Amino acid sequence: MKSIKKKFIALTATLAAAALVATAAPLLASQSASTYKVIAWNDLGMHCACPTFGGFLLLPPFNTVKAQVFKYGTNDPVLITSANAAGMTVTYSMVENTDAILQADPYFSQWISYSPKLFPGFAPVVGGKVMGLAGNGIAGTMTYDSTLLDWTAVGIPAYPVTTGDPTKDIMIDPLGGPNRDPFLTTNVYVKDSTGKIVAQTSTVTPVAFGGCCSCHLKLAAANGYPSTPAGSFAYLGKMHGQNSSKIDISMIDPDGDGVGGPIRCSWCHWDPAMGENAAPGLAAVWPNYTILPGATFTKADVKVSQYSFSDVLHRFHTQDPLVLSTYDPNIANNCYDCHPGNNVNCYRGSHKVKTAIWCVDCHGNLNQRVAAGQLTQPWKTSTLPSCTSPALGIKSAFACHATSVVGGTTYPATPTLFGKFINSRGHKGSPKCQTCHGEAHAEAPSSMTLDNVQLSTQQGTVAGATYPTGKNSTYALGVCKFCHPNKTSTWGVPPHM
Amino acid sequence: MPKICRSLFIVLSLVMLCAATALAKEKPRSIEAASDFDFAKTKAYMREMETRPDFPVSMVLANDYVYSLLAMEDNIDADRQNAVIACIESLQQKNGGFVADKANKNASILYTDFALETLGLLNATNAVDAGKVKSFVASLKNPDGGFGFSQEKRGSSLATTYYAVRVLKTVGGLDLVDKAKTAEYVKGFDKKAGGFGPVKGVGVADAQSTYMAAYVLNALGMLDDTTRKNAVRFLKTTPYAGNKSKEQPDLDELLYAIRALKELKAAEMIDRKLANAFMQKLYVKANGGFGPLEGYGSTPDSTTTGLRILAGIGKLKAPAPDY
Repeated sequence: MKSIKKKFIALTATLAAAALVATAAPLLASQSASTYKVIAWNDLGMHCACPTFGGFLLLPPFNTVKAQVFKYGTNDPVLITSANAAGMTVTYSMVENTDAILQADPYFSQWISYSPKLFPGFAPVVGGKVMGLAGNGIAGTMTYDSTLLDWTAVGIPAYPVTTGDPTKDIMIDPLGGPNRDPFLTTNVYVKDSTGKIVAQTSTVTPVAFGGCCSCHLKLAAANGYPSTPAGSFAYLGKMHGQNSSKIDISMIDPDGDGVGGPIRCSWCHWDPAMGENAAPGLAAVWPNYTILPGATFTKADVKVSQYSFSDVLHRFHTQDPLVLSTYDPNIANNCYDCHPGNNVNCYRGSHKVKTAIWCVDCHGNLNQRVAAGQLTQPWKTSTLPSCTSPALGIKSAFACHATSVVGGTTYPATPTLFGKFINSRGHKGSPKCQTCHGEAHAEAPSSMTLDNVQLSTQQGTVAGATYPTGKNSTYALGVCKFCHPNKTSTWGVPPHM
Repeated sequence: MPKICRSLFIVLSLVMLCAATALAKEKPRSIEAASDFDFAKTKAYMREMETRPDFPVSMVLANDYVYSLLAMEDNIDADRQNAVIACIESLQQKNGGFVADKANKNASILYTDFALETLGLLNATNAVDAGKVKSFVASLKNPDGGFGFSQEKRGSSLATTYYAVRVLKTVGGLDLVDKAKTAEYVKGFDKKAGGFGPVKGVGVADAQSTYMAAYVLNALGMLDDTTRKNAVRFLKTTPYAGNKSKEQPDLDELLYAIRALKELKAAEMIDRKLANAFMQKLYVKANGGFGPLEGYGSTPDSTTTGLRILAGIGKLKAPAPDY
């Protein structure tokens, strides 16, 4: 009876996931007959975005979707690039995010109000369409990156929204609002020169709130400030004023409206996540900014910091006595204190499914990352873990994948093979790791059914596909016939070189 | 019924009644009573740590592992106990204090407390040099009566003073405390509405600070009746002592409220029903752990806090020493 019940639950979950995909990409099932195949993914497996923007900006709506397109027919598929596209286009369209929904959303409305101040010159809505910081909206055309060999839409303003479907609205709102859907869907279409769709797919585009508010609202109340985003900003500013900079950021009024904020931290702390190699400095962005009456610092104190945003943020939280002794003595290991874990789980891929590996095993815990100097060069490829080794300066407790040995075959290592996963390639040099293995942090098979739907559906289009015992279509692309019409329909580990 | 049989029946009934009463008294402390939770799963979840090559990983996780398994009356074999003790010994620094993990060099009072509690749970406090620990704590003493976090970050706070007093009590070093001065320092964190907060003057009281203050004052024999009543008055306003407010319970605050009420000799005010119901909400059936917030996934830390709460309300047997 228990077994039947378990099977029923599994079947229900599968049907629910299938229903979601049916909504997202109704033409996907017919793709097996098409000449082209497309596989898409989100670059990181999770992005964060803040619920409020009136005080300071931690994380803007900024998501990136990538795709690879292959022409199927000859024994080896042909990678479709901008050079051989012959008028074809690759477009994307988000499902749960629409222009109307985002503009009516109380949190996203704040982004619309404050982002022109945070990024002077930026228009978040153009002609009624929501736009992202890199010029892409929630639907548009992807551009080909000839270095990374993929089609890309950078900086899509994806934002968690309430869909009304309780199976999707699983993310808790730290400010007490209704739950939201963090695992959004992006449909990707390949169209020929006449505009006819020749291939399409759907991928999960994850975006969630972090856990910052749950501590900072309490912190504000404990220190006599309102337990609100505004109160939290005021106290956070005061704390900032107690560090060596002496600057209470809540007393800075960039636009002269008599109210502190909004502040973008990366005006003074350089932030590669914003595509910057150096911080511009507040005066370069807002030459006529003012300091509110009662402040205990002057414009002479407002300088560009030598420390990156990532460095100050992480190092403070892992070394501050108050944080450790009052809020979390194990914050160095508890990444979900801040990164999305509120029923979301950034880390949900096959490493989590099959092993006891944690975030810190690949990236290092915060004490290790500080000691290894990782935070002095955040977001650099050099600090990322790879398939064969943990991050710079980290000694992993677990053995990583042996260098260049896959499925018992040894392959020579090259700069693009067995590299950093996110932008590396293998298997004759064209397919990206993520094309076959899925999104970073959600590698196939993921613990979340929705992540597995794309690869499972793609491999499911191969008639008679078979899998070794213990494996199934949710595993990484391995059914040779999916790409090579004259090869086997049995799943296996393909050559990675 | 013959008289002898009737007498035998009465005697047997009395014996059974006594036995039943005794069992009833024991019942709240047994694991079976907490049938809302599948502790076999919880044990397996906490034991996942054993599969890690770097077991027990760090000071806090070693504490999580030891406390959780003992609270669930599970056995920790000698090899694992020795691994935990060796890990903790390796984290003691030359100045006598302890660090969180091997990447750290600056010993702090916080991780020194974790070290001593974990060793205490394993009856292995003598594995470390108590004299060196006392010297370390003494080096953190400040003129204001409080104690600092570390030799590098010397400022006093209520939390760091609490940890210092707890460590000194464990190693028999309370004579190092200037009782009147420390009590005065701690009382400075009181709030007009009753209770204590983490900051002097401004801000609101919370259960964590109230517990910490009550612990220190009790340990020093300086908890007067007025302070006690004021602290209880504040706790009465929280959902943990029966106040039917709309305030959502908080995992850490619930634990500290339970501890505070016990410290203040007002344990009867603990809303055990609320505590148990809240723990059910945080329980993650998939792996038997507890999440830090409703809807969150489980972590070793929040699972251990959950078990501490269940021990605090008598659903589990609190492993000694229970702070």
